Amino acid sequence: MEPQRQEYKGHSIELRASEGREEEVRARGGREELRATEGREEELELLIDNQPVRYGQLPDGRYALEEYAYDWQENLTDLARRFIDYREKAEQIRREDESGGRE
Amino acid sequence: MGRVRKNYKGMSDVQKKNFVSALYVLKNKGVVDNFAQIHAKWFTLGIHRTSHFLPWHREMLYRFELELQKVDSSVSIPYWDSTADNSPSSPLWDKNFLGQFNTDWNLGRAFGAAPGSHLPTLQQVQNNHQRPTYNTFWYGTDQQGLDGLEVSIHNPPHQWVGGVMATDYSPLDPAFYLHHCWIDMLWASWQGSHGGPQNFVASPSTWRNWGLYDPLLEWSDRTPANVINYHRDLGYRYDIVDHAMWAGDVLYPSDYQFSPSGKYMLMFKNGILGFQTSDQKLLWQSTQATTTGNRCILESDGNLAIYDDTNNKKVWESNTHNAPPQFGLQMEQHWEVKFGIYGPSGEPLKPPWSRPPPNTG
Repeated sequence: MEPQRQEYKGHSIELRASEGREEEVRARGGREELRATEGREEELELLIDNQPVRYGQLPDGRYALEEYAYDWQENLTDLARRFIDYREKAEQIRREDESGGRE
Repeated sequence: MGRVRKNYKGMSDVQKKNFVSALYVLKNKGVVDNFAQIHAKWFTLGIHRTSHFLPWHREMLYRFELELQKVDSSVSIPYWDSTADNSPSSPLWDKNFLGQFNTDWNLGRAFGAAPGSHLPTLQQVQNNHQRPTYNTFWYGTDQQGLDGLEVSIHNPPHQWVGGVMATDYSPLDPAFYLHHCWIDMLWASWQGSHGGPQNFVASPSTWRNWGLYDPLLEWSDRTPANVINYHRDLGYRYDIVDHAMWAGDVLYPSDYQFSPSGKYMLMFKNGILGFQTSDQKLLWQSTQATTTGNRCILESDGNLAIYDDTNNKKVWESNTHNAPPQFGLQMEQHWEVKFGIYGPSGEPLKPPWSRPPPNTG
């Protein structure tokens, strides 16, 4: 597919076709993991600000990011936007906690 | 076996300290990281969004709890009820409990950072509990369009805590174990009121329709059938789900057990077993004098006994023996006191230990 690119709150989100995913799975988990990944859709590569963002597709087809794993969405770009929002808010909260001295 | 998993709020300071100490030992041995790695490896491959979601995590917690108990045999995993305990200023996150791990283990928690972040409500949990089948319980969408347990109750606390807890390596945060213990308790509670442990069906056929006898990912010699009867096969119980003591069950100091209505409770404290109302009015106790007992067990022949493990001495016993199969200690029936050890049809053991509770044993 042609790469899809959009801007969101000053960040770039890009989706492009990915290669070599099956080889990666073979290297990581072998036969048992391949059984668990049978029938998956063609993988896309997700980049935010040109940095790859690792994700997976759940058995019901929804996506989850490895670093933001419990917000399951059907649309990968929507999920990327939510991750950007989360990341910024989390940074803000951590800064406030540090300045406030909370654990 | 026979550990009680209870709300962390019911833990004594010593129990909290022991739990925290055991976690640090497991972290130093690489066990915490190893469990997190296993969880991340299978995250999207069938341990979520399939019928194995609940049994897989039950097996994981059981294995982790065994590791904790290798360090300290008195430790069991407590649970965090996030419907009631829903503030970053809760004692859960105190520096002497889970709070210390945020900096020590670099967890990067950020409470409430996720978009629309919220914790589940008691109403959600109660509505979910009413769902009639396993599938509708864990994943199904109801008439109001609300998801089942996994999405609507399990996911939000992960997101609400944030940081590592919101990633596929979430078991690096000890909060994972307290949260999943609560999720497991909700399943246990549902099992108890919906046809017992056998109420289990495979995922919907359009998904991975793994069933009762299909192997669990990572632990392929185990299936949901090995874990659904958690009390019998895994040897633990929950303070507010399992309302009786069964053969082999053990109470350690400060352990308690509520009756089904919550009106009465069994408490093991200072070496004394006490039966009391939930507002602390003592109805019976095992002995008047302070003893050194530190383990109360319902033995397989029906004898309820308190041991002092420092010298392996029995300091008190009910002297009830020759129990039939399926006997148990009961606290009430039809909302009234019925305290004693009974057989499966409600018959008292011989000699009976089921009279109206005496003042002393």
